[in-house]
Amino acid sequence: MKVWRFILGLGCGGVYPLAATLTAESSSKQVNRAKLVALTFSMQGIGYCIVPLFAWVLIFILGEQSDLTWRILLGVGALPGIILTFHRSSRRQKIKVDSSNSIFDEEESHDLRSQTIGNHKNEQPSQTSVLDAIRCEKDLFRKLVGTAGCWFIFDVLYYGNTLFQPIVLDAVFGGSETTKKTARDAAIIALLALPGYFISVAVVGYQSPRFIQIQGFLVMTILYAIIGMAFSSLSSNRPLLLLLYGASFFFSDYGPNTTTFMLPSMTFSPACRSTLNGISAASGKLGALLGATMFEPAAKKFGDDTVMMICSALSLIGMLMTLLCVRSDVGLGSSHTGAKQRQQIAVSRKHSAPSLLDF
Amino acid sequence: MNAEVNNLNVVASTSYGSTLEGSSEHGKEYFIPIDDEFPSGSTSTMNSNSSSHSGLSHNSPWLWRNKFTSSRIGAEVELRSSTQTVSIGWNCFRYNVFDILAVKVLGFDSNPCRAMHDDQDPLDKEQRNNSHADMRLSMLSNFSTSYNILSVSLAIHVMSGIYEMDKEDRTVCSSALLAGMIIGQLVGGTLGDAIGRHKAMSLVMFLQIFAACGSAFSTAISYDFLGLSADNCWMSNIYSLRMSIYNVLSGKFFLVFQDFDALCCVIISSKYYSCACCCHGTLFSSHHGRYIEFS
Repeated sequence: MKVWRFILGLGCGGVYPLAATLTAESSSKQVNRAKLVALTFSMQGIGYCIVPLFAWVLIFILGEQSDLTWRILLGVGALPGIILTFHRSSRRQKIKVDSSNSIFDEEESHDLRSQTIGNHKNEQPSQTSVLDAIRCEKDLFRKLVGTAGCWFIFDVLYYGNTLFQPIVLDAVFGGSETTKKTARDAAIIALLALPGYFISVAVVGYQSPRFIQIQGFLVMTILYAIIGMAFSSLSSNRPLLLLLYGASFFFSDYGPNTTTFMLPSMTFSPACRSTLNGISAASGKLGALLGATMFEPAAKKFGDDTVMMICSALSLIGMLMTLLCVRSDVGLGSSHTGAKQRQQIAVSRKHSAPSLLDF
Repeated sequence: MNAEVNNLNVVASTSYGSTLEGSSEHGKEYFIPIDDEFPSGSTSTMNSNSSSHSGLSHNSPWLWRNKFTSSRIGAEVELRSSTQTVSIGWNCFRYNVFDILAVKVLGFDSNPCRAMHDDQDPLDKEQRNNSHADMRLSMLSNFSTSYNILSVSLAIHVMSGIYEMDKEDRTVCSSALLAGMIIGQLVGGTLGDAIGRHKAMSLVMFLQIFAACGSAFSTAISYDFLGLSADNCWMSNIYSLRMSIYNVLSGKFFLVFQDFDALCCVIISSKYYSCACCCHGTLFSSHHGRYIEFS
């Protein structure tokens, strides 16, 4: 079981950077890109909603103590992958049939093929050059701090708070001992947070991801500070606590959760994009591990309200990091080459007029 | 809509040979403006010998393009005026809920998950098509990822109700996933650069399928004899069905009791079977209803 979980973790982890880069590279327009990546990420929210709902239905049908319940619950995770495999193979056949059917297409598809091969060559240099590409990346450290650091801080907060979730839910709904109730509560929280993802998608076109991230961190700072300062009085006022707590999830989904996923796929150059994306994501998961393990001892030692204040401070740091290290034009340019040129311009500007923000 | 067309159910099959002038050799062609929001500006010259065509003469360039693409893929154009559905091959031009949501609420130009063939440039079209496929690919894979991540915690919750699990087992189970994710992100990201995004993606998705199936058919977390250490004659153990079938068939264990409700059964090793029989074992279930004990 543990081994299977570990392999599954390998698979799941790999999807993170790959999905982001694939999405980002699927569109030629930069504005669309940010939107598309956000949309891809919003599927995560849907997944988070579906799991408890599905578990709830399964328990409803099969009963609380059925062995089949968890087997089906885990096994269904393979279904999207299988669908994808069929989808892709059928698509490939379709393209083949299309191209073989009409004479007209033949030349064209040949052109296309050569072009796609050319594109691939442009996008994916050989294996040895990945390291070189990373070395050649301009402003590597600053960019990494902007993406990986922010992701780290955010995941400490996010996963720490998902552990906190049962405490708050217990306060609101009463104790949740049965799995059915747990599934229901998790579904409620997930549904509360779901609109955040989509609002983020809608807003990205108008605002830069950087601005959204700053907003998210700011609101989280304020919310955690409020919860931390008035924890004892809030725990008697249940609806307000749920509202504040749900709002903190909503804004974390609207802000950093989406943007941390989005930024790495757009800041780095295509040659080493997915590697550095993977590094950022891994640092995020490191933060998650830290948050998940450190939250409970900290809560026991210092008390819940202090932990909330620490959360607030952390999100403030995250905000400052975003301010300093994330370039403001990410996700707002017109095309990739445009972004590159702009980057060069920015670099040259920096050399001519060093400012406080430079490292 | 024209009254004559209302009863019509026309199938106009065209091939690429039919030029933009809409030649009549290949059969009748009808052009119906689907919606008012589509531009119906410049009228293109067209010869058609059908009589019902006169009522619907404002052809838009948009429709021309539809026809163009549909004839290119050699599809059948089917018009049903009563339902206002125009399906052209595998690409249906009716706007569904998701399209409207994507455009109006989320602010896209068009639905990013569906290929809309409104570009005359075939090369551009092909690229767009690919990008839509990529989009769907990454969206679905992200969905399955989040599903797989979250399903563990609830599955463990269910399992801890059935089996005896200490807290350590649970934390190990969920932190194994996190550790795997950290490594997977590093490796997957590097692979994406090294061997190509699509290849890496299919590899990673294959891992997911493999592992999800594996964990679905896996045995319970600990399949030692739970009660054995406490009291040597108390056999309380539940194997998963797969393991027990295997073990019984291979002759290592005897089947003692099978619970068809939960699809699991109690088996004891042949080493202890005689011991259990000596004790004149009476089967009764504990308060869980799952543990069969010998006394």
